Amino acid sequence: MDRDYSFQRIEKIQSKADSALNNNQGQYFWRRFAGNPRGVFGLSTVVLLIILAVFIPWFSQYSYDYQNLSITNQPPGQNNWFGTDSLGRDLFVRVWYGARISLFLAFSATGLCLVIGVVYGGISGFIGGWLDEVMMRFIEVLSSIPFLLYVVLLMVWMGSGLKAVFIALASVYWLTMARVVRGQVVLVKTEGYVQSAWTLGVGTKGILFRHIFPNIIGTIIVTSAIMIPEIVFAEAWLSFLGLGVSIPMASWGALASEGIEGFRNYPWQLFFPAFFISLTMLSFNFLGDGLREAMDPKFDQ
Amino acid sequence: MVRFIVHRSITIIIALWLIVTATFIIMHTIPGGPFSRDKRVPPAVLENLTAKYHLDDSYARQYFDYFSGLSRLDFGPSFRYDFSVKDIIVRAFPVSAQLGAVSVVLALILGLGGGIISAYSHNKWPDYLVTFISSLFLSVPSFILASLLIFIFAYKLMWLPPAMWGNWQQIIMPALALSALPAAYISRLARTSILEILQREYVLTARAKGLSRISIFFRHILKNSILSVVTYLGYLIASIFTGSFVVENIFAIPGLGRYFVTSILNRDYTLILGLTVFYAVFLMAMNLLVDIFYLIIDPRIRTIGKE
Repeated sequence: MDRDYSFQRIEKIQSKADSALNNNQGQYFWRRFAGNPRGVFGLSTVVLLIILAVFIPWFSQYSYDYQNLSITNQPPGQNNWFGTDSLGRDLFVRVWYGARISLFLAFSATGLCLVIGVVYGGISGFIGGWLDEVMMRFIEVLSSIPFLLYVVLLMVWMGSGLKAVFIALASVYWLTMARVVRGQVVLVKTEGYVQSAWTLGVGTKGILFRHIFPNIIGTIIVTSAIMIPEIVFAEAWLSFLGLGVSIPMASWGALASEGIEGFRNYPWQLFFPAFFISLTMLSFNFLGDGLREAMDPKFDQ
Repeated sequence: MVRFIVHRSITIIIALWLIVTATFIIMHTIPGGPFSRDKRVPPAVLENLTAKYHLDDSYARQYFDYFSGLSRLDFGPSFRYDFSVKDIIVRAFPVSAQLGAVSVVLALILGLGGGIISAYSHNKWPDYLVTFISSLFLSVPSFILASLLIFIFAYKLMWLPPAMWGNWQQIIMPALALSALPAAYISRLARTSILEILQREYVLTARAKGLSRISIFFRHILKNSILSVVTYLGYLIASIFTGSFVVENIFAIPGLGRYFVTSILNRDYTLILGLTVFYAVFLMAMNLLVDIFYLIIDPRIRTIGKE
């Protein structure tokens, strides 16, 4: 009875100390991140792009598939800020619809990878032994397949469309996440304080949620932040090959691929989607770098 | 070292078997056959075609035939073109390989050069310039860069031909478009590793001994920075070859990537299967070579392998 009580006390004190530490770490992390102009630029641009992608198509007088054949291939002007395409559709609204699709796809696919990766990598790393060996061999075999070939095959099989792109990309990128999570779990598991917690009789649940999870969450966030632009990229590539979302919907990649056909005479049809793909990539890259540098004391200079 | 190579080879063989099987299953379960696209084909003709390509055999039989064909490097006939998949590979691969090799070399030169300049002018304007350019290149997909290059250098300035293949002017733009992103990545890798090495004690010792900056550069810096880049080589080759699917299409280059894309659009079963398997074998073999190469040049890893 006495003994149990003292254990409870230890756990209580420990959890208080942990949360204080985590709070401080969070503040410290945030301060470092805010001191990095590129990271801040990345974050604010990403937030701005998301807000614009949500609101602009709502308030626009055009819809993404409204065709007006009397104003085909118009250059940017007062009525159509980004000009029109070969079917007379307003490119401004199409670009922002495209933003919705590209960003939604990138975030949701990353989210799915995160769930699968954390579960798979967590089990593999935490349980260890032969199970870990088998699970990691499986990943090793899968990742020695050039992943874009694999995505193309999946897309050919499932047919194009938003759902197919989502599944195809998520089914490839979880490998990276699982590997990262597993590595972190193994690393944290062998730390002295986790070993002591085991000895003190903290249960599996306590170890997982109080010790391992808080310690790997930073790495998971950084890995996700790096994964998002890769998925934007991969989606653009697929759309360019004609395997992306189906018309008349259009992601940025599909818009750019349409734009390339006539870009000698109507360069704005390529320029706007291309600009937004690149801006998104740039801001996510900056955001990812900023997060990584804020986490890693090696970058203290 | 031998154990490592055997281990990697086994992994690769399992992966290859998986991908061949997967391609086979995928191609036989997608709706619509290779002849279902065009104008309606008379049933008799369809029957003959089906018989000619053994599409009426059992799946197990076709699967077995495909494997025995592969072992003889026979990928079967293309459904769309009048020649075999092997003919297409033999004709188109040299073109892609040439473009790929030029791009890999270009990426290495630009990347290493950029990284070295950047590290040696740490936090001065050349460093900022290189970092800025590499951030840009990391953010622009190759097909966008390719079209921008065409727009500027072919349409506006008219310095270079916009497309096709055959002379050295025609290789410049596609190679640049393909190598920009990996070059940017390499320059970042090289910059970080050189900066780290410059602070190591043995470099300070070498300075204290009176070695000149130039000989330190060749003896320590270059060797170590190349080492950090070699780990990226496998990924570099894969990204240049998959990037070439898109770039070859834009520049109308008659390489493998172009056939791959059209084969997907045409649903040309055997060609997709054949090219996927070919690409997979090629890229995995390249990865294995890179691994072995890395073992050879880095003595630290060699000794770990022996234990």
